[in-house]
Amino acid sequence: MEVIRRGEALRNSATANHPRTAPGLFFWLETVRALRDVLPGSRAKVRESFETCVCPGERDEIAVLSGDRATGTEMDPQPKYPKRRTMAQEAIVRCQMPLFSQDDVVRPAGPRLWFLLVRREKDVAIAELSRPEAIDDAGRVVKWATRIVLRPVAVSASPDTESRTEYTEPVDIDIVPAE
Amino acid sequence: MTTQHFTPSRLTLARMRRGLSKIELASLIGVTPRMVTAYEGGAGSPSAETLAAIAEALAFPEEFFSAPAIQPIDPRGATFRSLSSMTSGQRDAVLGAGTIAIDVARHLAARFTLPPASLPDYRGHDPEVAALELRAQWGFGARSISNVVHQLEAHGVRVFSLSQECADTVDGFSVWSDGIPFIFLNPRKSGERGRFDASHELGHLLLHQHGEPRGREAEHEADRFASAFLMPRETVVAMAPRLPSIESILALKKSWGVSTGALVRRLFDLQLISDWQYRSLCIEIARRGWRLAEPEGMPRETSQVLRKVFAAIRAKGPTARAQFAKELSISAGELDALVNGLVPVVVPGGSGTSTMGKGPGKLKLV
Repeated sequence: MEVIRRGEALRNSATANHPRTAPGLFFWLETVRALRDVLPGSRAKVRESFETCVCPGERDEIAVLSGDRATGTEMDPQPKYPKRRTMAQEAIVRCQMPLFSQDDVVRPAGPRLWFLLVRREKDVAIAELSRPEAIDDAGRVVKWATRIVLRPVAVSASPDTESRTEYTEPVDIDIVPAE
Repeated sequence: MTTQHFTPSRLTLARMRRGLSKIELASLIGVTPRMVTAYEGGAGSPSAETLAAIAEALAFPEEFFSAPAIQPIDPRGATFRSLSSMTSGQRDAVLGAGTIAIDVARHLAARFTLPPASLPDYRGHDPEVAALELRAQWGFGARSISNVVHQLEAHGVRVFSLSQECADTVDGFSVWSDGIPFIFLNPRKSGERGRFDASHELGHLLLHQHGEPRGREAEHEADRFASAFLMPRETVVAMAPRLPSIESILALKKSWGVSTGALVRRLFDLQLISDWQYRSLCIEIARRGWRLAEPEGMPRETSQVLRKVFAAIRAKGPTARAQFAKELSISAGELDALVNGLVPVVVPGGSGTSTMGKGPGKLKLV
């Protein structure tokens, strides 16, 4: 929960002066960092731009992704954005039953790959930690092995903007008795 | 026996102040409406007995009706920000109180050197541009305004309260009188709404000088001015979240001392949120009851000028304030109503009745 809370707080700090992609990017950056912060003994793993957190014991590995409207529901969720080839390849390699051949990918199966899917609904973040069983080469999850729907997280307000606000100086009006 | 010194315009003013028609006053004092018309037109003076009845019915001292002539505010020169359709009686009551406030200000100006009026003329300006220019002229830059009422007073605007009986129907009103700008604020509003209302009325004083335009167009322009004056585009764009939640709106509104509704409207006007986001946030604000009671509200701003002048008057002795009211030929209660919520007023413990200058009491902001 703390991980999502931190990610959402940084998402909220994106202003109109930030680039348009800032909210999602901020969320992803901070959530990945928070995962690594809060799991003692975990390690960061990077293959090209596919960043994950490998949990202690090397059995599980978590990637942070934006979810779609089905996230946290009984419907079939998908990562919101089609993922790059690297991620798709990584996911396919870890899936127990890859449906599509990837002859050019020759990698030993590593830790089980989990997706932390998160979506925003007003002031609440809805998330699930789910393990894909089969993924196509576009990164679309064909089948889920396990889905753990997390409790909704109330999203805190943006960072304290009041403390960053500059105010006009107090006015002292001189009132003088008339002669 | 007729009254030796009777000032017809004073009767008109007192009747307006109480929101009474001539027929209603005639009924209260036991004369015909035609006689009231005659008294107000200077065609006749009331007898001593009738004057006493008038004074009692209108709750003004008898001396009030023999004081120098006073010209009630012309309704065409005043701009109202009405909560709902006003009756003519309510409008008269507001204008009557405003006229008395102008008389109070005139007496204060004779006793004290007050800041001279120094408002620019922005007639014909775009409200957003006018707000930007005024902020530059007053040296604000992009900073948030720490106290709107004090800034207005420092630039010569006289700020008074709307009387309680008008508080349900009028948000605020403003008028120019002999080159002096006056703003009347509703003391029942939240601190945030009070700041917006003061800025809105400032917009009328600058943009319209109480000429054209009038009505909804003028109100819309004054709203745009107030919004830009309190929330400069530069800082809103720099601080407003790209994905504003209702919680972030609540946190952010404190940076400018505005209501949640005013901030959401500003975000929409600056095209920082979509139509759908604007509607969703408005619905959420209404659902939470924030339109009626501002959450995490700030205290209402008070008058520095009135506080200082009444402190100086009070320092002259326990009866000095009552004496001041007597000079104006009004009751202490009438004076209290004009500064209600803007300065501490002396009230006796428990009763809640103003006793300005009538003996020991305790200071209380009412």
